[in-house]
Amino acid sequence: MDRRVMLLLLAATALSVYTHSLVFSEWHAPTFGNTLIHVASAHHLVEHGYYPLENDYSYGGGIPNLYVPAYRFALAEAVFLTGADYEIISRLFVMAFALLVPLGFFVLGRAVFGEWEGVAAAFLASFVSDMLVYTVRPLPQGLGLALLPLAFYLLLRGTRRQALGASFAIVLVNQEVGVFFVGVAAAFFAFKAAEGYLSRRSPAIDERAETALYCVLAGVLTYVAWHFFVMGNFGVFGLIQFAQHEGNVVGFTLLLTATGGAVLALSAVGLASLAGGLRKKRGDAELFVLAMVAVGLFAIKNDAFGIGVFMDRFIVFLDIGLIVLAGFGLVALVRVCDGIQDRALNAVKRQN
Amino acid sequence: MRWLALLALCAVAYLAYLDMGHAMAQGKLWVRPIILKGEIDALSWVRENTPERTVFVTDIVAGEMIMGYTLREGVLGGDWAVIPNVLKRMSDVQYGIYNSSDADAACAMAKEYGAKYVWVPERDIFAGYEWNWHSDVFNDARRFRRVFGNDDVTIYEVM
Repeated sequence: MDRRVMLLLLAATALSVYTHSLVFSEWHAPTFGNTLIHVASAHHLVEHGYYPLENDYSYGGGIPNLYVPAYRFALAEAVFLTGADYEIISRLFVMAFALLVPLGFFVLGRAVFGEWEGVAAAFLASFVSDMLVYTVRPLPQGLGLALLPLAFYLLLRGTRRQALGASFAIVLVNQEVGVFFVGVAAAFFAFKAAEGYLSRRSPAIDERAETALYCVLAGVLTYVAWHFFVMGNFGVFGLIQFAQHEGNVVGFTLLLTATGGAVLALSAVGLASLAGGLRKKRGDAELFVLAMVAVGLFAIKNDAFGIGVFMDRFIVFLDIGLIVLAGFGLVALVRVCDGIQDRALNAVKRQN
Repeated sequence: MRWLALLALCAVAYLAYLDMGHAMAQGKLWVRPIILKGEIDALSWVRENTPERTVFVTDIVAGEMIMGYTLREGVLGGDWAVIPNVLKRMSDVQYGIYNSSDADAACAMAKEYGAKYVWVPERDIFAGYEWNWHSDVFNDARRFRRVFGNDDVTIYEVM
């Protein structure tokens, strides 16, 4: 790794730690967004030695504990091993997110485009308002968002076993994160298959596309199995969130507020650069980024497709693809500016 | 890197600086604890005087605090994904108990939801519909017996 890249990555990580230190700014850890409901299950596990699967503490109790359990187990384990209280451990979890976010974006960005693009993405992640809002609170969504770039890296570059493991694990961290991961894997498979058929590649569906398909199956089966295990039925869409269409419509203003001007503008530059053929080497990377952005756009506008759930909550997931694209856009912008200046200087020299 | 690229980077840095200011401002809003310090202090009384799974009438935030730290239950608070008639429950707690002017009806409603106690914090409560202050219906000692109080919260037993 270029030493300058390493130094910049350290700086990006320090910036993330600074922004996430907000979690220590109040006398108590954040409670907005139902942070303490996860403490209840972890607390029960530590006190009684078993997970309260059949009797959640929610809304007067007596109902199955449907929320996927990985975050709660992690919290319980951390409390059990350290003896520290839930409030301190929760805040420290947020600091772990602070480290994972820039490192994850660097790893994914580097795999997709290159080192400089990766470190640019690591920096840009700190300027996205929604990314901070979700990862500055001790929530499964925060853990999921912090892990998603790494999970995507394994899907794109890992062995099949690693990719399947990532799919299984990420689905058990948070439902929205799982849906997005599976959605991107499905879109990536579809794009790869279409490219294969259109280019008459043999076989049309290569190993990476197959892995993506298996990840979709693994993710879906994992969640459906969990739902059946807890509820005794397959009614995964029978949740209140679907019945009540919980979510707000996303317009451009909301998208801009949540994402920020820098990432939006640079991702547009990145998209234009890709379309303009600026990148000489073409491969899975472009299809993967397009899959992330396409699924993100679908998710934030899912009301237009009759679903109408969590449209605004999915902005931060769209931002994952936009951040990676913006990292590419930033480096492309610098290279284009250098190119323009070189051509201008050469033109002046020729004239003279 | 040449001056044109440097200029472009400065423009990006300025945009990023504005974005980060906005992100930090939003972050500050979302890390507010909402609950009051006295509510945390009151949890000691809860642990010492009630068995696990005891049900309290609470708003969403207090319900989650109680369930998380004491393994008791709030009438509201938690994962609502599979709760039957959850909107009616929220409306009942918001308007039938906390904002009620009828102590008899509020007491009956609390019992309907299996609550033994009512958690009344000195802050706006949110039971799913709006943030507002509780009424003084709990002053009726025939229906609500004060069992604990500090500057931030009073706990009433449902009679």
